Amino acid sequence: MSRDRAQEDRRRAQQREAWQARREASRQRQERGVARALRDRDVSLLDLVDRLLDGGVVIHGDITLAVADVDLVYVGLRALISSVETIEREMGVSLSAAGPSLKASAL
Amino acid sequence: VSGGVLYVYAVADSFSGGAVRGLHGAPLRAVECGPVQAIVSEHAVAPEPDEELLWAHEQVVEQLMEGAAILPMRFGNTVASPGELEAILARRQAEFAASLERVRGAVELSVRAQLPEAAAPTDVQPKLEQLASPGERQVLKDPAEHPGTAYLLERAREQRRGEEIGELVHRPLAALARRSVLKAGSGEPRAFKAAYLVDEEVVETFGERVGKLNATLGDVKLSCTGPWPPYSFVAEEPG
Repeated sequence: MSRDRAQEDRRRAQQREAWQARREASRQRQERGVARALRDRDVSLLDLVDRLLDGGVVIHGDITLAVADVDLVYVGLRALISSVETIEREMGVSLSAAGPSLKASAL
Repeated sequence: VSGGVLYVYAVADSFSGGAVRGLHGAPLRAVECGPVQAIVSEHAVAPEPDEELLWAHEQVVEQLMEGAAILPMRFGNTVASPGELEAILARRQAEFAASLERVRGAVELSVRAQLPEAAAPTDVQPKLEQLASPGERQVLKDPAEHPGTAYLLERAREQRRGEEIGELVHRPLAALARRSVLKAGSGEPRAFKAAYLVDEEVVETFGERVGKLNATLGDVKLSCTGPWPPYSFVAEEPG
């Protein structure tokens, strides 16, 4: 049980590191853009998900996402954000629809 | 495309090609129909969303935006063939052309805030406390005597405070924007979430105004991100 837990923690830590690298890369891309100071790195992930899964043009054709898939993406993202509670409190984000058990397992 | 799919990133008024690569490094190309074109890449199977691919989609769209007016697609739009896509573009050509004109030269900025939990009456802005009626103040003075009423008043005050902050924040920001949309969900009564379509040369001014608002709002922290492609302004009615 506790070994599973440790493995899970390691996996999460690795995911977090990979994510932070991507986020940093994204930030650097942004800094070449119009308003370098504006993008907040933690919140931009949530804004990204909001936009790419809920905004944008939908054409006739096969959208790969079912509602359940969207939930899964949110869940995956939640696991990667180190202080979900802080973000929810300070940044106007509420992902609690994803379920209290997930909240409890947030890093 | 035999057996594969075309993944669509954006509808644009032009496409210069260049070094931009699509998801999984796939090359990009344009499918044209009159004045509008769709930028696509070819894949054996429809890409499934994960964090990395979401960022990859975003990166492609941002780069397309540097040289053209674009309408970003939601993640996951695929078609089976160029012919199918051409038919869609032909059918929606007028709509896309009009939307492209609406977003040309502008970017999207996102603003969020979370209202604090049931703020105590004295801890924020006196202005909000003034909203209470004399009768309400009586109940607030002695809530133990009227627990039900006190609770309802608390909720009402929270809601008024939400509206007030929405007003305080949204109006001055919307004044700088071409278009704007309040997006706070019904399940998030205490969240402020809005998107603004802002001329590129106004982005800096917008950021400064967010900073000033932050300085006046006390315990409410605004968070502004962007510039984004205009995901929230691809249609006539924002959403």
